[in-house]
Order: sequence, then C-alpha cells, then structure tokens
Amino acid sequence: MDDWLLPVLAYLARGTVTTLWISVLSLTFATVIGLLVGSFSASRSRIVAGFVRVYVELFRGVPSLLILLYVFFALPHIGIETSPTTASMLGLGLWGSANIAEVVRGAIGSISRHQTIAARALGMGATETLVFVIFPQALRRFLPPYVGQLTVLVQASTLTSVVGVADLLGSAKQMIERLAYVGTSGHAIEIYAIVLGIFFLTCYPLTLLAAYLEKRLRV
Amino acid sequence: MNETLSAQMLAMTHGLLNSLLVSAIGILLAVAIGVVFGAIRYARIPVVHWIIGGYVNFFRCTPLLVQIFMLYFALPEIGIRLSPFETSWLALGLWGGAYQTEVFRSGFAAVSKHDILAARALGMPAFQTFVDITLPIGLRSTIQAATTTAITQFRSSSFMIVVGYMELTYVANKIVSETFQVFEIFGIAALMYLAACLAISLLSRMLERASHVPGLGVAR
Repeated sequence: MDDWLLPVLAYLARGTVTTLWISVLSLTFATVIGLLVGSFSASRSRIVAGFVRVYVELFRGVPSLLILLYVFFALPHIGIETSPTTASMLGLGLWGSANIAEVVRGAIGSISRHQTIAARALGMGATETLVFVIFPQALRRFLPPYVGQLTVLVQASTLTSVVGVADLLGSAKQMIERLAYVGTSGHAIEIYAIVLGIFFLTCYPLTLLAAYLEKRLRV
Repeated sequence: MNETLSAQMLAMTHGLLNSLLVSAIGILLAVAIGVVFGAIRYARIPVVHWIIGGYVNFFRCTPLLVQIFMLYFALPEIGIRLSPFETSWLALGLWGGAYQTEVFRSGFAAVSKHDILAARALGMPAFQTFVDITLPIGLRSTIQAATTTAITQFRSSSFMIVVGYMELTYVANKIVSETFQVFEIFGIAALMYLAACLAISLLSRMLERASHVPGLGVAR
C-alpha cells in the first residue's frame, strides 16, 4: 500500500462525518419546513394555496448553489455571524424544504376530491377529514419520492465545499492540493474515485429503497 | 440607472448567455444519449443494456459536483485536459444523459402494446416497428419529463462556478464579493434563472403543441 493512502483515508473519513452531519441537519430542517408548507396546500383558501405555489416555484426555480451563496453572503450582511457550515446548511435546508413541500403537495393533490366530499358528508370536520382521511392516504404517495429526495440532499451537500466547508468533497480537494504540493502527483483520480464510491454506496441503496417503497405502497 | 449598475447588468446578461450556451449543448447531448441508450434499455439488447444500466446508476447516484471535479481536476493527471467550457457542457451532458435514458426508456415502454402488435402483424420487422411506431409515439409522450431534466441541467450549470466558467452564478458571485450588494445582485440573478426556466418550459409547451397528433391524446 502506498504511504499516501492511509492519511488520506483518515482525512476523508473526517470529511464523510461532516457530510453526514450536514446532510442530516439540513434534511431535518428541510423536512420540518417542507411538511409544514406542503400541508398548507390542502387549504381551501386560495391565498394560502397560492403562497405554497410561490414558495415552491421560487426556491425550486433557482439553482441550489445560488440559494446557498445568497444565504452565505446575506446572513453577515444583516448582522448574523455564523460559520460557513451553518450558513450552507440553512441554504440547503431552504432549498430542500421547497422540494419536499412539492412532494407533499403532489401527494395531497393525488388524493381524489371525492374522499374529502365523502368524509364531510359523513359529518367529519375539515381538520378531522385531513388528519384521518387525507393524510394517511397521502403518506403512501409521499414516502417513495421523499426517499428519493434524501439522495438529492445528500448529493447537494457537496455544494457546501464551494464556500469552504471541509465536507467529503472539500477535504478531498484539500488533500489533493497538499499531495500535489509536497510530491509529484496529487493522486486526484484515486481520491475522487474514492469520493464517488462513498457517495454511490450511500445513494444507490436509497434509490433501491425508493423503488421498493413505490412498488410496495402503491395505492 | 447609474453606470455601475448597467455595467453589472451587462456582465450578468453575458453570464446568463454563457449559462444558456453550455446548457443548450449539454441538453442536446443528454437527449441524444437518452434516446439511443433509452432505446437500448427498452429493447433489452443483451450485455449492452447492463452496461448502460451501470452508467445510469453511477451518474444518478453520485453528485454532479464530484463528477465535475473528476473531469476538470483529475483527468489532467492522465493527460486529458479539458477547458472550463468543455468541462461544463460535457459534465452537464453526461449527467443529464443518465436521467434522460430513464425518461426515454419509460416513454418507449409506455407505448401501447396493441400498436406494436398491430405493426408486427402487418409484417413490419422489429427494428422498423421501433423506428416507425414506438419512436414517434414515445418521443411525443416524453416531452414533459425530458423538459424537467433539461431545466434541472440548466439550473445545475451554476455548478460550473467551480471550474471558473463565466456563467451567471460565477459573475454574480464575483460582483457580490467585490461590491457586497448581496440582495440586489443575487436577486437579479435569481430572477434571470427563473425567467430562463420559464422560457424553456414555454418552448417545450410549444414543441408539444406543434408535434401533437389529433387523437393520440398526448398534448393537453
């Protein structure tokens, strides 16, 4: 084994942990906001449903990287000092929340209006109808694309390296620069291949899970 | 409008055009890959369709940004040097091609079995059936899904900031780090992206209408 490999692997392992952290936290943020905003789409008020549309279209129509940079530069501008990691997690989370809100909107929209009418005819209130009739059915349509969104957000976490976070990609980049500086080669091909491999091993099982859920939960 | 702002707008418009340029090449490349590979996947041509399945899974399950780094920073180690421009459209095309392969495969698979049986019963060979029946019907029904991929590719052209290609996000980021006009510059950039995405989806809507065949029930 080459003597450069072991320290690189140790460093990449640290980067992987950072990537995991960023993914989990931005995902939690995105899921909470996304579920909240998305379920507003069940509202009968045109203004509320319109707000959901604007939120979704606005954040999804703009590149994720631009949102991340926006938050990264805007926060210190309005007097909030944070680390690049926090800022980029916030940016990723905002972008992800719009994606998840869209999944929720699609899931709720896919449930036939007759279900609502039938539930109301049976004397259930508006909230009861939503909680006991619409949401349980929508959940089955929500889960498969939601798992798909997990892979999207894990992959998007690499964007944080653009603002200097030492995530998996960022630490790989630093390692290559250091190796190229002290030695003859940066071993970029091997190191990026390892990075690609780690992401593949994380995301491929998730896509299989999404496909399985889609088959399993078909209504 | 003061002079600085008009100069900034000009630079950003230029950036937008650069984004559109690499996206256009990348989108065309991805559609070409998608139609050919999608057809092979659909026809289940032995061995080749497994290899293409590997390509699709690999590109869809790894981040585009790492793929860009591989193309631009790692390939020179084995003597392949790509310019930022070449890297940009190639990365977008290869990445989008993986998504389009699945889009077109499922589009072809959705063509009614009866149409194919009818063509075969009339004595058309399998390949001719594909070219004359499956392809024209399948392509029409995939316009919407293919547009979704194309728009994602266009938005992802912003990732080319990392190779120093002068696209819209690169220009906006440069102006912001010099002037700190965060809200104005990024706001304008966001509006430009939104407008371009809208234009792409309008174009696709027009294509859908123009290629509509009465009775096929594809266009709305």
